[in-house]
Amino acid sequence: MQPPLGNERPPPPGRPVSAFVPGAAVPPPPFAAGGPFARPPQSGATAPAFGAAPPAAMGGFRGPPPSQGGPFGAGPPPQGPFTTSAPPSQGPFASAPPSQGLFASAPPSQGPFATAPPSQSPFTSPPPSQVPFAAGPPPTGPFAATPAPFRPPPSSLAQPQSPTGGALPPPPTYARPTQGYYTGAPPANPQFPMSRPAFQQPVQTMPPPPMGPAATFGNQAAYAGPPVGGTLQSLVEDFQSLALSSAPGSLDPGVDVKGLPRPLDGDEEPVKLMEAYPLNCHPRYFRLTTHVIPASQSLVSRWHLPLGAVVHPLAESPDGEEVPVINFGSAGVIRCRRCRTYINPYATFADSGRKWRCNLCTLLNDVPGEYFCALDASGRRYDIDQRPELSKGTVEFVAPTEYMVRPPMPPSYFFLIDVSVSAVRSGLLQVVAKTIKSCLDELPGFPRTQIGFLTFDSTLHFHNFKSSLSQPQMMVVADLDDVFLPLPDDLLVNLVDSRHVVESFLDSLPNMFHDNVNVESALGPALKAAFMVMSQIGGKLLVFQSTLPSLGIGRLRLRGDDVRAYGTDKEHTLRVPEDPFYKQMAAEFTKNQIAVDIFSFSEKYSDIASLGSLAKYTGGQVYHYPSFQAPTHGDKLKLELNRDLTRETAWESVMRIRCGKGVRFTTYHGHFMLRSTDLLALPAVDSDKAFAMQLSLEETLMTTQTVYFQVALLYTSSSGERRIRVHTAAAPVVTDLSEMYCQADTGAIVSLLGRIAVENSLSDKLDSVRQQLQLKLVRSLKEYRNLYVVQHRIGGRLIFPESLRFLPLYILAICKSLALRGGYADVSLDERCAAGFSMMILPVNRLLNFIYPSLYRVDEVLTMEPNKIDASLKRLPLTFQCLDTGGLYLLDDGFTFLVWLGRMLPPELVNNILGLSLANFPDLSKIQLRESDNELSRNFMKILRTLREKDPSYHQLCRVVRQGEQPREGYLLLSNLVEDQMAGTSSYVDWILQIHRQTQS
Amino acid sequence: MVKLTMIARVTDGLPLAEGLDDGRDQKDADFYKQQAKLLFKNLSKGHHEASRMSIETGPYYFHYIIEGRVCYLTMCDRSYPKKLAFQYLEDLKNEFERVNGNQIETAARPYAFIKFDTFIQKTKKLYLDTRTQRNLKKLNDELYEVHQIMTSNVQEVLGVGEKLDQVSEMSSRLTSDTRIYAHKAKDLNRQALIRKYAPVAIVIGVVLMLFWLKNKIW
Repeated sequence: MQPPLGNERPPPPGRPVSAFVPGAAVPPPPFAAGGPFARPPQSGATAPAFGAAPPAAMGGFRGPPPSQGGPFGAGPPPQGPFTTSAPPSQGPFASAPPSQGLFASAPPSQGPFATAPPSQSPFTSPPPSQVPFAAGPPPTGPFAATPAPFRPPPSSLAQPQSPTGGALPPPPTYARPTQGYYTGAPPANPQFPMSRPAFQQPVQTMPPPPMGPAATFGNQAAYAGPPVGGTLQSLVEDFQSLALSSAPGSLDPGVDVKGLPRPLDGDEEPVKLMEAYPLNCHPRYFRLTTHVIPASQSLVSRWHLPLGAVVHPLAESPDGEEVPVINFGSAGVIRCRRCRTYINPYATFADSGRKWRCNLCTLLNDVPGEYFCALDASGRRYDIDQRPELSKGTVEFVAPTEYMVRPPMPPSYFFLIDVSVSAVRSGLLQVVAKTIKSCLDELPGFPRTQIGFLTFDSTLHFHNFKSSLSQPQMMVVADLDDVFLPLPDDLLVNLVDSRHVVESFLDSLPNMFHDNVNVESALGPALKAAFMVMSQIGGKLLVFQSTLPSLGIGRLRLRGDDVRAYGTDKEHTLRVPEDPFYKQMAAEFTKNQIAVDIFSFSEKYSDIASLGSLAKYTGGQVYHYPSFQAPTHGDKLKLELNRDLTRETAWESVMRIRCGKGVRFTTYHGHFMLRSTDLLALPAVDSDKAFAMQLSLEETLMTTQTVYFQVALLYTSSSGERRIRVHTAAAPVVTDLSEMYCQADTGAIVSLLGRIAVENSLSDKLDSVRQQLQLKLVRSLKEYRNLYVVQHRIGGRLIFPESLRFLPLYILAICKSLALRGGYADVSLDERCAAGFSMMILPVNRLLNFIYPSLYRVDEVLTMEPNKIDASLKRLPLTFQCLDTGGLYLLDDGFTFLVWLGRMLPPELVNNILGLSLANFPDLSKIQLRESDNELSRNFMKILRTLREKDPSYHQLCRVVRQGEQPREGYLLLSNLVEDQMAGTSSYVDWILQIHRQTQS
Repeated sequence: MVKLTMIARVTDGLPLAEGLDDGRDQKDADFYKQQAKLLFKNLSKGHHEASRMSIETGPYYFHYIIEGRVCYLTMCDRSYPKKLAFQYLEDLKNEFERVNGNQIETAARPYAFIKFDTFIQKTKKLYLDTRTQRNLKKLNDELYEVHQIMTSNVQEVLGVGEKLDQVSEMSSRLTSDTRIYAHKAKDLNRQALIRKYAPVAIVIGVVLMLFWLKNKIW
């Protein structure tokens, strides 16, 4: 019973071909040709394969097969009955192929249902004409109910067929399932599209074993296209071999919203690569946008998406995974003579261990005598296990004297605090003073840590912390044009020696300026003074600025966020610094190893664009607290300042990325100063900062098989050690575009695209920046489509590689991100700039969470056991449809928590959590969540804590908003629901349609 | 006043500690630092005579003491009393040995005891002003005798090393030259031999061949 299968391809291993296949496929040639019939057997056959599929990939699928196997004879055990009773049943089969077909096609749909609970109504999938089906489960019917008709008691195998078969429509109707309900159904019933995935699902998900977790698959189930019979078959087979999996469907208006792919699992690190390249550094340190290197210039131009990498040199490694530290001692650091590459696992040894070949430039280098070791028969050194630099992608070398221009600097912190009236009134000084005081013990670098303070309003106040004093002395300098230091020493002092003076200063700081009514702020001169104090040592300069700098050099004016400027060529000038002073100052700071962190608190315009450029060119960071008020924002500031001061920081560092012959890094994106063409100067760098860069091909044709990359960060640790952190990675060179798509890394692409977009927004209109993003997406998808459009009939389908399935949504999210969304009215200029600065440094996973925030429904899990809560928090799609009026939702974008209270939320729940009743219409913008003494509140705060612990780099400020509370709901929540249609922006569905239309044209 | 302070291991010239923000408002600090490093290198080669020494360089003096295979070096103005400078180094030495004494030999990385810089800085401040009561007392104290301490010029000191280097270089060049000479002589010898006997050998060869040919043909 295994005759040739017509146009079928040989079944892949693990797919038992059921006995009835020939019966169905062979007799009428038209069937085979027309395709539809080829399908049933196949899909029927696929069903058992689920059981056989690797558990990791298909975990969710293993449930259904038994039940399916029963009726269909597809599963091995039931097959017996089928084949044995073949003669009688063969008749019905041949005579009533439809029943067969239906049957065979139905079961697979069962699979997805069981596994993909979110999608309801799948069962309407069969053609509308099919009475039993439509009758059984109503479109919205729950899942459990649907399968019932399909699961006859296993004992009577033949029985289920007859009832169904009897009720089935005549063969002709079914004979054209493909076009039949493909085109016809959607308009008739919006629920219809839902069903398609169900049909296609098994076939679709079969192919790629690497496809991933069940969740992915859930997504997929839903967005897969309609069944296209034979075409689909071959298509899928093709895609399978290419490890593609998605060929989503006709994008008629009736597109299925729920089924579109959504990154609800957040970032997917390409950890699989570690298996292929175990000697590479972990992807948390280095990620290519596509983990292959195109072999020719023409491939690069066809790739359309940016080719580059995201580097996160000091990413925190999970506990127990320490970076090994190596001291070469007298041998010196082993490096290539020509290209200065550090020794790494990919270097090969030759000449019985006396020489080593550099993997980047292929130069043969001598091995120093101290480092010599004999080779074994396969050319490996015998001591490879003892030498982490030869077996690990990430190592740290102890730098010898040649790597120091001066002795390792002590960590030093200098605080520049604006004490003008707005800082005093908002309670800023208290919070800052208190936080710094509480951090004194944890500042890194004990006992060498240096600390200093300078306060300013319209004058500069220096503070003498000489250790022999009991109280700090304040010296006021009023000459802003020619700033001088009133003291040569003791402005920046050793913390251990002057601890008591510093503490007494911090205690008295809030009171010192308690009744200050000065509204001016001489930031420019203050920066100059700080530079004079710090220039010898370098370190970190923290600027607390609460108003627009108004005096002296570097004064900024109210440029005014002019609505008329938007949409014109002058628009971008608002987003770039107006006064060159700040950039010049930043260059000076970098030269003297000073990093600047800006904390901005103004409620009015404070020109973050100008202030931020200080941070941008010195490897710093911008924190923005619009309308700071100590009671509400105090905690956020406290924790973020605490993090800034106490996190492990690498000082006076430089970073360089070397890569093999033929490729070159051209553009770098992030906060740094470019010292030569490829040397990034980073006065201070820490685990919260990532860098992105673009790659270009130098040669038109690559001749090597593999390209190597090496990231080297030379830095001084807080403990005063000079170290070199080296990450090495290899990527294969390919000549095939589809391979590039297959290995694409959405996270890295989005991260790089986001940064490019933010940088473009400094020289272009927001509108055209968004258009460029869209264009890139369209072009790349079009290119991908062209790869397949010739062989396959994929007429009404948007196809994209599995690896890029979230890209369209992420690009839409970038367009709607705080930095790039809308125009004048949507985001204030300062917030836009601050978000832009943040996007330039965020590591991949945090950036993805920032542009596509996590939304959780909380009210349901609040009553659970505290230890189960974490597991039961599920991310929801960012659309208003997901919000139930009776629910309590939490939106987390990494910077803010937004608590949304549904209109129908039980008042006692609100009462318990907020500690007040909504009935009095309290001012929710001023509310602070405190843990009160009841189960719900405890659980709620626990959820917040758990989420905060996941990402300690920022502290999410908790804001509460009630449904329908305009305008707060609008700008807090609705603008973050990136899948919904907002003024002038498209919804996710429209976006997909739009992209699809453009890829076709 | 004290301009520079450096502590290094004599055995290999590895820097162990250095005063913080040394060289502030001094344009040529880098030059003198370089010179000090050269000095250390010289010391590590074993070119030192005394354990206490002053070396003049430009407008300054280097003073150093070597104790327990560690060299404590400072650079002061010419006018700065020698006595105080050595007293300062003694202070550093005592503290350094007390704190890090047992780890000096095992230190593997440069500036392993950079934490000592805070002490250097503190001590330096005590010695800044020569006219403080404390320093005047020290100056008048006859206990510490500095008169015997040798003074030499930095060029000389560095020169000694240079000269020695030159000699060794010359001798090595000599060796290699003789080797080349011997080689060439052998070569010439052989060539002379060839020149001498080649014609005779050729003639004999030709004759022999003729003989052989004759035998073959006839």
